[in-house]
Amino acid sequence: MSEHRRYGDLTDSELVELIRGLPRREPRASLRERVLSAPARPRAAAGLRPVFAVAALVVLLFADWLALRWTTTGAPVGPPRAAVAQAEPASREEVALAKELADFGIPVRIALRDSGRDPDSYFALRSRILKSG
Amino acid sequence: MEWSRVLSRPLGRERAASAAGAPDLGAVYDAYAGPLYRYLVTFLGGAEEAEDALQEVFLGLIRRPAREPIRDLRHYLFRAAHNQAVMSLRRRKHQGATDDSLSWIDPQACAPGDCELAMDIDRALRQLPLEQREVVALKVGEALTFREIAEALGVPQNTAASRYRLALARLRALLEGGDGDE
Repeated sequence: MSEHRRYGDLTDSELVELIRGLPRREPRASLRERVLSAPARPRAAAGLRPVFAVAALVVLLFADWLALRWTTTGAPVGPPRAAVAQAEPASREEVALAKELADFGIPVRIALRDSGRDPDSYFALRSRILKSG
Repeated sequence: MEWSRVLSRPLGRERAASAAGAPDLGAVYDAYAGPLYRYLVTFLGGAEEAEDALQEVFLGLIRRPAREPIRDLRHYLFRAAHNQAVMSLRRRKHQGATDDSLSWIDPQACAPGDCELAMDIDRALRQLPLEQREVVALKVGEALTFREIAEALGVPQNTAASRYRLALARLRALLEGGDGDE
């Protein structure tokens, strides 16, 4: 009872001083050694993050540029090497065929396919016409 | 010491007595480990968990990049301790661990005549809600101002003051033998 009355009679500041006078917990002494012996190495990832980001961007841009370059400057589809090697002056019939193909006004391969002709023979023909003037 | 570059201004009472005047981590630890530990014990309720959190706080300080200087070390450390305590608490809830319950008072280290008093106050402190308990720990235990408490806990200054008043009233009621519910 006296104990309760004692607490009840205390002002706020007296209560605070009472609490402050009590023993307080402390961390174990071994923790100090553990903390002080920790490596003081800064976080590599945190410091290098902007560098990684820029490097990744450069690599992506370069890859994009390479892809664009490859698709736009790739070698054009031409006649098979064997057909070119066999090129001879075009005959009258072949010239007529070339004119007929040009009149189609549609992609040559499709025209050839629809007319039942072999595309390779078209390229050989074209090569010969170009060569003979 | 490389970590000292994170401080934008010299330390005060925790400055090391070295010729170069560079802050010494040992001195910083000696000045702040106790207060931070007691705050963490109050928040987490367990001595071991509080020590782990304290170690994380100091590792964060040691490994902080030099390009991010600290203007107010005391504020930084208490804020870091609060964040670490919140993370530990979340992890504990996630893992379903049981709650320990310690206050920053150590009844086992009391003087013979004060043991009963220490146990009464320890018991009463442990019955306070967490948000009141942490304010009392910082205000009574570590003598922080309400502004410093507000910054450490990330709450408005008035909220910190109001929690403190409520905590003292409840503490008094608990010590007088009530249940503290007013």
